[in-house]
Amino acid sequence: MTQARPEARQVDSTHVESLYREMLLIRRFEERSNALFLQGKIPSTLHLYIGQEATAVGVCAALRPDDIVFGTHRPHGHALAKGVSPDTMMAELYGKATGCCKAKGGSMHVGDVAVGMMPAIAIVGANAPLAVGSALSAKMRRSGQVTVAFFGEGGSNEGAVHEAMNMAAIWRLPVIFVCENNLYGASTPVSQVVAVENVADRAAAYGMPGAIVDGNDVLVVEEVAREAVERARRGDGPTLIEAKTYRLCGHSRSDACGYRTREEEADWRDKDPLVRLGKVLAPGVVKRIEAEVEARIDDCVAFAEASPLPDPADALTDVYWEGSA
Amino acid sequence: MAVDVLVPPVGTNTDTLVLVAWHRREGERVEKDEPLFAVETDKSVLDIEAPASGILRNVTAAEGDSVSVLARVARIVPEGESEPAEAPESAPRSSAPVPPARSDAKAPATRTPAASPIVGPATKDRNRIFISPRAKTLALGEQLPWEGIDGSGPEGAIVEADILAVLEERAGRTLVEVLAVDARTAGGWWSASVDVDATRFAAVLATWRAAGLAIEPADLPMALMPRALAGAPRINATIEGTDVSVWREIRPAIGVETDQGIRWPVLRELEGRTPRLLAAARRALVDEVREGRAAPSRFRGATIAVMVAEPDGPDALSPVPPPGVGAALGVGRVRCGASGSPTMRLTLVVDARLAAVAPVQRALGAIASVLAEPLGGLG
Amino acid sequence: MAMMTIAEALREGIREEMRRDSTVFCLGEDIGIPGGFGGAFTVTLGLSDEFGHERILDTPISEIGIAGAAIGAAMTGMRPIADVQYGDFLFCMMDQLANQAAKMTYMSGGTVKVPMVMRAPVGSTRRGSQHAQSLEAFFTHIPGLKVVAPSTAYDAKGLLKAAVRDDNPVLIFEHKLLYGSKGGRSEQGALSPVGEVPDGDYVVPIGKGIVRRAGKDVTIVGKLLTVYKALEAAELLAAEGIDCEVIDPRTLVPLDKELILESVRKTGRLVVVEEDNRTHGWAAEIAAMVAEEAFFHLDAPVRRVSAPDIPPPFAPVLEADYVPSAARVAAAVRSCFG
Repeated sequence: MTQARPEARQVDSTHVESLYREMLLIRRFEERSNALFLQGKIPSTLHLYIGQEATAVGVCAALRPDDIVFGTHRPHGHALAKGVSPDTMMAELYGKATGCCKAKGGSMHVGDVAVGMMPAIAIVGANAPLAVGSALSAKMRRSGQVTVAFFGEGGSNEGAVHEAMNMAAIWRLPVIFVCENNLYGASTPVSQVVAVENVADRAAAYGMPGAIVDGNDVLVVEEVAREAVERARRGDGPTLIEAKTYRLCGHSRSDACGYRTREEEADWRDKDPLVRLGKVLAPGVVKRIEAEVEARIDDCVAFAEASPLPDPADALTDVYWEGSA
Repeated sequence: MAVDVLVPPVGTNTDTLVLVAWHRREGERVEKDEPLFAVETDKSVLDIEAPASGILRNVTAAEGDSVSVLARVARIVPEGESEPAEAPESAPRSSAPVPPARSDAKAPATRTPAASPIVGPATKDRNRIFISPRAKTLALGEQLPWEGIDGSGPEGAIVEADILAVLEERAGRTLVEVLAVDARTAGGWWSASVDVDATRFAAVLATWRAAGLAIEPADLPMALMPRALAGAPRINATIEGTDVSVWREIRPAIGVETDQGIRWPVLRELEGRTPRLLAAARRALVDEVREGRAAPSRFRGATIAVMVAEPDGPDALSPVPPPGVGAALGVGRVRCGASGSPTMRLTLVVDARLAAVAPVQRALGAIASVLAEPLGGLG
Repeated sequence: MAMMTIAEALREGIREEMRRDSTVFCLGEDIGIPGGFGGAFTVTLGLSDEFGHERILDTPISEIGIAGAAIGAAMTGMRPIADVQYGDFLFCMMDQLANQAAKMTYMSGGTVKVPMVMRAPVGSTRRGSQHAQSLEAFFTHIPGLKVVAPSTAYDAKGLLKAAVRDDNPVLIFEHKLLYGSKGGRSEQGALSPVGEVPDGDYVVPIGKGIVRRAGKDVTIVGKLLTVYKALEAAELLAAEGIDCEVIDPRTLVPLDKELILESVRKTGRLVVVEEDNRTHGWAAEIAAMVAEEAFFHLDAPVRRVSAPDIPPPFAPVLEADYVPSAARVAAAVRSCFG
């Protein structure tokens, strides 16, 4: 088990900028979606990723474009970090025909196979066995691809996750299990539902290495993720990474967070991943990136607004595979 | 153990009787074999005895109700036992299980209807007619009203086979004319007889038999019917109310004596059949009826009735035409006449309404001359 | 052409598909272990000798994992054939089948396909309630899945191949008493139909049923074992002058509706036979469909012959009343007449 230390690293400033931009894109996307929801433009509830950006961005920074990611019911961060277009994602949230899932998925199923982001899985823990299948497939095809499954500390208790981790270990599959421990499964605190101190403590029981990482330090997350990815690509099997982080928002839109203290929230606001990485960049750079991201968000909202609604008859299509191989 | 009180199949050729009187009421004590209730047949009123001693319970038929033969109308419970729970009726509707008639395949062997898992209202609610969708579609398409058609399907519903049977009997029947008669002519029959020299009749029979044809006396009049009726205008007619319908095709109902009385199955195709084939068809029909295998549709569609006495039967027969049929021809046995030569008596019984519009004496004469000269005077 | 049992025909189908397409592989419990059974009913016996243990992949007892692995592999370019040892275990992997496999193509907006096969043995065989259920009806109700149920060796090989080549998740239900498994894995009371199976490649198209016995008085629809019960009943009824038409749909979803409707238009009577409990079941769907689409051709109420609404019992004398018998089918047919 490793605990990564942030100090001893050399980072390329271009790379840091791109990490910052990606995290900021997620942050602004989530904030804007929230506002649009309140205006009635987005028809469904949203599970926002605000505060957890460093985990998604850090992990995805270690991946190739053809590596595969299985996200959760809170997938906007994973999707944007893996490269799904904010345009088609926003259109999907709006329920428009140009959405990444043709308006048939919605917020919890956003994805784009072309960039390796599978449609997100809204059944907590169910993506872990799917990720095992994807890794098995990569190993059999000798493609060198790596698969990542995200789940929360609450989701780590699902039977599906245990079966998946055991299978991944016995078959030495190229899969990385990333547990985003944001301390609460909906409203339930982790201490009430996980018997061990850290979810990563379970890794040894499954016969794989476990790593605990500060989920709000994107550079550290990336470093630990790279190690796991290289391990997997070498054929040495799976890793369980536990990223300690925090939701700076409710579980969903209808959550007033009455189960958390304001002190705890304030504490974690001080560890905001954007603020921390921002300190490493020059203020002018931050301002420039802010403006670029703002414009990008404006564009994707404009795209979604201008897009047509789906034809009601389209509800009956795509139940079975209609495409070509 | 409670005992069911059933309606017995007594002295009738129909499936339903009228329960005219109860001799005991619900809750009264009953002795075995004492008269319990009375039913009216087409001949008389009969007392039916109690099948057991006990208390009369679960009386489900009232005086004046039409009841099905073999239906349960009450139960007799031994004294001291509590009233039995109402069990669903399970008796078959007719005394002999009857398979549905099919126009193409041979009739299936006797089938006892199994108790349906759904106790349908068809047999209980007299005001509704149950007909299967398939049968209804067919009937509507043929513009055939289905009230009054007997249902042979599950829960007594009218099914396709029943409609087909009616259609079949209608098919190929050509109406010659419809005559309206005065309603006051209804009621009673007109009857006339004539003795016919049966020398040549008997000779033809003997010749055909010698030639190996399996022919009985009853077959010859049937074979001669088309010629006989050619000279008997308007006799081949059915009657409904005050409407007399004269038909071109001859569909004779043949009188068949059974243990339950005289029945009138219809011989469908007469014209164009050789005497041998006619004889075989007649015999098959008679067998069907006597063995209880004839479907209700077998008795529909007659345009005239004919009954021929057995060789050792009566000198004269005056058969009453079955309901709806205008005329009946009775042929007595061939006997030795006063002159010493063979003779037989023909009787024509005609519904009073038909007699009002048809030249019946002329008709009898025409029939008589054909039967006297079976080969048309050719020797 | 060779005479084969259903187990042998499935094995040959799997073998040929794995030879034809390197993305096809099998995963399940006890399917490739050397010296083992070749799966609970011998279907995969010997295959690991030819294809090795990576393509005949033995799994832990992890039904969720088996299903998820199959689905995930199918989403990423492979064509897995997974199996459960007893159909009842499908319930253990229900989320994966119903929420993941069935919905994936749809909720991805038609961009992800799941070309996987899941094989499951069903049928009551004196093993008790949790190893006995015929549960096709749970899966025929799920949009996004295809469901097949071969009852002959010819159909077993042909449908297996069709299922592997289909780009959708396909469940193959097989009946324990129809496999013809031999030796230590043979079943008491098995029917074990043996039939002609052509050598080489052929496919039985998914979605096409077959008339097993032509007739004109009544249509009987069955699946798996109840096809044989229907045929037995037809023989009994022939002696009584009732001519039965027996239909084996072979594919349950998508159903060959027209075959059934055409038959009912001809006969006017329908009896549906299932080894599954009656209420809210498969026969109910067939009955409703016919009542909707061929109502005016019906000459009698539609009859269902099903197991009672109980879990499958154990004792043979209890099981005998659970599984529809030829006698019960014949009684149902007779009740369609007067």
